[in-house]
Amino acid sequence: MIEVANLSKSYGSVRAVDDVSFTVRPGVVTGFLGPNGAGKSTTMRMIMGLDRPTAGHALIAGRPIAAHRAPLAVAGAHLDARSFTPGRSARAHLRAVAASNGISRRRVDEVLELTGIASVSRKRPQGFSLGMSQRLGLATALLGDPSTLLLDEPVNGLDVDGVRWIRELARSLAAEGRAVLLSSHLMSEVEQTADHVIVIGRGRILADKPLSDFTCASSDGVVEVSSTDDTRLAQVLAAAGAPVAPIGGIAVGGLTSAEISDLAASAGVLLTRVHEASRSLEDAYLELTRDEVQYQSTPKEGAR
Amino acid sequence: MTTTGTTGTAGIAGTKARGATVGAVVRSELIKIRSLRSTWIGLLALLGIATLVTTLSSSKVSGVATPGVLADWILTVFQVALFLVTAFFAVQTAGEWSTGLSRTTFTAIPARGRWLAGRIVACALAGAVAALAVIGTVVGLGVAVHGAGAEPLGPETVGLLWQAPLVFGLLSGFAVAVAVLVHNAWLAVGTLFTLQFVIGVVAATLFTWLLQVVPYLPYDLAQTVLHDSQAGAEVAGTPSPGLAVALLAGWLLGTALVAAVASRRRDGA
Repeated sequence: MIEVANLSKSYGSVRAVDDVSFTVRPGVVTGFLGPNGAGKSTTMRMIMGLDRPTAGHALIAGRPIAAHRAPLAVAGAHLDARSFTPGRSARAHLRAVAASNGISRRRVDEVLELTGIASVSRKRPQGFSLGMSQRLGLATALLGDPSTLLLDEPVNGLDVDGVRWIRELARSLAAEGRAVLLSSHLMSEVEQTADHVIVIGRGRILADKPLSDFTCASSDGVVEVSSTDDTRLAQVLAAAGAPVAPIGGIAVGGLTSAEISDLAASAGVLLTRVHEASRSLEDAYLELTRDEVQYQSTPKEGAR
Repeated sequence: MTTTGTTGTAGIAGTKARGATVGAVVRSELIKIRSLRSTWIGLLALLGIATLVTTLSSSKVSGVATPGVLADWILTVFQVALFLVTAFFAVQTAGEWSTGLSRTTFTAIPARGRWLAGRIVACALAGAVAALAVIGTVVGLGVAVHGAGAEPLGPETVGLLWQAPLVFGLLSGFAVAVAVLVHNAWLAVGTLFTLQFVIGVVAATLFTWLLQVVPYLPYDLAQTVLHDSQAGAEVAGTPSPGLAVALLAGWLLGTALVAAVASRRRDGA
């Protein structure tokens, strides 16, 4: 479990992370979203003890990462695809990292197999593609079989198979009871992988809730219904104070599906279709971060 | 869940991790040193220089290659080797940051002081081995060239067997501390170069008062220790060999302490 409390980081007058607090729970994949420069990577680096917070603290399994006897068994982090010496073979790199925490050579072979780079393990990674470098970084993060994983943009550079592999890996790691914090710019990936999302913008937490709540809360709350008597149903719903509009059924605002269902039942009207219009994570994210992006392009004049 | 006990920490699936002790860090850093091709190329280059110096020097000795003569050849190689070995470890250590490896290193070993201690010990051991390899090469070649006319064992050569590894070890550790302090290969090598070659020249030519300080600089202390067993080595104004070792250790510990404090305070990887 990761517990972040009032974490702040300033670089001179720039507040990169501003009083951030959240918890990443075991057994859950938590998506960490935010525009470029929002403070995602800085937050992750502070959690792992790579950067010093200006204020606040981050605990992993109840303690700062530096206070753990074997840090790799507590937290594995993949924060950058290029975090190795290009001239040292992948196997030697992993052996050196494993040795630093007293982890056996057998585990090195296991993670090489798990990440699919066993066949190139004796090669020096200076010739690795970005995808292979990502896999080596993930192998490093998994060495200690940690209870917590921090993955910063792990699907960058991966092909379709690799992206699916990461998705399944993250979900299976969470299913084993690990806490997984995963940042990504690919909303579709987070939508398919995460159970919970934390959105950060200009260093502040904008949202911290289950994925389903996030997309629902960000939708316009319109429920489309059809029934055996749309005219009667529209009257009942309007009487309940809900704005209604005929759309070849009825579009209802301000009421949940369950409330509409109850009202229809009490009026003796049978619902034949209920569709709760929910926005995609991307729509919800863009709506939330509209004013928080640091670098924004200007739409071309006349562009549709 | 993760459990912690006296035997270490086990991960979710039961993988054992004995812990990031200084011993584990030393093993890790030794693997890093061994697994780079540049280490072996550097060692071969060093032995190549030793071979060249011995071969050229042997041709000038017609009589017996005494222990004193062999020690002279070794010390000639050490003039260059001291800088090459220390600069090598400084570059390799600074490479932690330039390659991005430091992110991985400090994720695995968040305690910067512990990592620095492990790195210093590992490089000191490797530096000591390099010194012994040079001695072995020079003595071996000397015996091979002069055959029965070579007398490899004597106080001069035997003394070097413990003096050289000690000095190379301490200076290699010092170079690591300098590299961690400045975080930059060029700056680290520049600092070492200045300490070994520039300050002495500046002192001799521009600021003569500096000449009193020069014997107490790291490389000069190293030379004092290395020449301890050589006949007529005592030079007025230089510290005794025992004091030189203590001062050299002081340079290492002082620089390491400053580097550890700086490393803890700065964002780092």
